Amino acid sequence: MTALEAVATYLPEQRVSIEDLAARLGLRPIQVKLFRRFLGLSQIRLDPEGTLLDLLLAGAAGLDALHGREHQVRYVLYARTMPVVVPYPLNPLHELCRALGLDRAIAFTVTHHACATSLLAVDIAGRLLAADGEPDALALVLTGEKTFTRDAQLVPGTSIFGEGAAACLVSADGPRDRLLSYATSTRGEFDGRLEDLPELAARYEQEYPDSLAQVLLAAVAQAGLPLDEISLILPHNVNVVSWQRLSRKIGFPVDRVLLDNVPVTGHAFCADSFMNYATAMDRGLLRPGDRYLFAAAGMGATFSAMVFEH
Amino acid sequence: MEEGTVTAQLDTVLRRRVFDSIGVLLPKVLSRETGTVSDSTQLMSDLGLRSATMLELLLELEEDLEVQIDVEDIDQGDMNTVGDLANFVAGHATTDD
Repeated sequence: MTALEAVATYLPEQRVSIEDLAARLGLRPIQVKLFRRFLGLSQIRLDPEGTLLDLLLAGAAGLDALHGREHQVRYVLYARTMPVVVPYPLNPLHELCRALGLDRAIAFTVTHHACATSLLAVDIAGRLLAADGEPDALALVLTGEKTFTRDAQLVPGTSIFGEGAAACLVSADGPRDRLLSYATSTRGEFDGRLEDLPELAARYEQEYPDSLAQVLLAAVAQAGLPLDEISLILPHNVNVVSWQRLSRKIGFPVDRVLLDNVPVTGHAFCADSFMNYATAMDRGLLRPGDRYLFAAAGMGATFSAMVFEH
Repeated sequence: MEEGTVTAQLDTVLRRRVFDSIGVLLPKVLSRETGTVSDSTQLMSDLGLRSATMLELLLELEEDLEVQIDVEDIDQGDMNTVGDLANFVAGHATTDD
């Protein structure tokens, strides 16, 4: 059974308030107020001088469980929201493998589930390792993206993206945190730049709550659990109000949805669930045996949820 | 007069103010004329509001009516029609002072 052996996260030091981002993003004062007052976003983290490779390396740097076990890493999966992040033939993923001594690993990028891609990458990593049948083999899942264009920094009226990274060591089996289920639903009819397609955007907004609720409940059901046995939801940090509505919709206490990072980091692409996991660990919110949900929605659109047992 | 009667009367007065204010603010939020609206005017299908413009409207209402609106409990059902939104705002508004 797929297991998360270790998770490490990184946030750049520079904090930028959403007011300071307004000019770059073309936000009117009332839109800034909307983000802060209703959507719960206050600031993001940025490293304007740092490269994507710097960001990913910083994410992996805290992964102590990797040190001395580099030769066990068979797969390196870079899970990302944006389909293209550097011009060809640059490939920071392969540079990262060389820098970390992961020379025995097959490295590739996983995408097209947008901000839900990190869950897909964990699932793929676990299945690849299980198929290989080598008990000591590991996979490294990396997340983290640069806010390099306006589209990579803003979903109008919904969310603001920030920079951050996470690295996760996955094994085919292990005592903690064991993957109990994975539910995902891709709704290709919502593909498109919603800012330019108001009718599509309206339909997406209308169907988003039900679509995400369905995968959350499907993942919990696949794990053979009632919803009230879920200790915590570790969400994507799209905004606060949409999670408040969703938790009410499925009858889950909103105080057990970890939303504390939304005002601190904004939406860090695919890294959110891992960052929220790290926060939950730091605060002692997960006890041995607790079951919790990773949950994410990606534009385009994919809705995904995973149940783990800590 | 019983206290409940006074409260109900105040809510009705506030609701009327909210309704009138929505009618005035909609063209500003949507950047176009909307014509006369009624309680049954559909905010999304008739007027084309989306979540973001709905929240912008709530911010404009806060400023116009000098109230704070608690949106934590807002659901889709509160945003169907002008009347639904007026009911929600009247029930979740507190004065600034």
